[in-house]
Amino acid sequence: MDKQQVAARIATLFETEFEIAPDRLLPDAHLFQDLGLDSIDMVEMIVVLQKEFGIQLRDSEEARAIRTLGNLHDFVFNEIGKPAAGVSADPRP
Amino acid sequence: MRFLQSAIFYTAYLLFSLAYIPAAVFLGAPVALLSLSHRSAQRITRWFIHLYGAITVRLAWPWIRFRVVNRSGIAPGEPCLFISNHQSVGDPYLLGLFPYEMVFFANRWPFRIPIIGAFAKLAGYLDVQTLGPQALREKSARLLGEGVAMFGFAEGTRTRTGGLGAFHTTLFRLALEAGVPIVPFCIAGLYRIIPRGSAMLRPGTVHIHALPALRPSDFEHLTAHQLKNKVWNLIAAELALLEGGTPCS
Repeated sequence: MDKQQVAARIATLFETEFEIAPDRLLPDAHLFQDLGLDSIDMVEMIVVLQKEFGIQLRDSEEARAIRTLGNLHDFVFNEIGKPAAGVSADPRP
Repeated sequence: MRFLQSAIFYTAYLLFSLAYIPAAVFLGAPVALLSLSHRSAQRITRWFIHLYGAITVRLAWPWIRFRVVNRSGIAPGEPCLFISNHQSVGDPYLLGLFPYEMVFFANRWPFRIPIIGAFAKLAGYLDVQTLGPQALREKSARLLGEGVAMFGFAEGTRTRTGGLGAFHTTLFRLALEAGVPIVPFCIAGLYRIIPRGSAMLRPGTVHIHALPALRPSDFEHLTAHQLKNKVWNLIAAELALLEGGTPCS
């Protein structure tokens, strides 16, 4: 899956889950200020992204740095690209 | 001319505040302390805040005029949630022109302003940035149960462009859970009179319209996001009508 496909799937999720019109879903749109998401929306967003892309999103520096929709596209794209997304490389239990 | 108008207004505002706030403290504090209940103390504090707003907006006359239209159908004492756009630092004062006992949803910073912050706490205003979702829900439900009207700026901050920004979902979740009417509230004209980042006043007319309330039966089938969009569209249409502008998002 390339980054454009990731962006398109995220756009569909934002339209269906958060009722946000497609013309507002620009890469530089700020998730809080421009799209009006709040903390509960963010939790919902994590759940739907995990389900949609089959990834495990965890608290990390990269996740905390997400401000815009473009940041989110990059983050999800990178997570998908990881061999075992979100799972620690450390084999210890 | 604008400088002179601004100087006259701010001088009057300063003198009024210097007289009113100590009077409110010295008259209101004993009454609040002697009142039988916490509820009464909060009601007295809100009354002082309401009167402060009502007088402050009139200090701007005749350069700034206010046109108030209340089509909400909400009677004083009826619990409801007013949801407004946010044009200027002057917006909260405008509530003094309406006959309701109001509690604000506010960001953290007003609570940090000396004296005003103390009044906000005494009045039971809710800090949406510090309170978690559960505490916000519980405190709102208690206030609404007391017959208080709650008021929030759904954009969360003042407009940066004069247009209507995106709404946050929090207040709409609360309205759905509490099952109280929502009053879409539109403020128009004040952004041009006191733009963000400027203290200089420009003459003009401010329109403050409380639109017909949406009753729970009107929106109980909607999600919080759908309800948010519905209210956004109502306020945007009213704003466009009053200002002849177009919403920004």
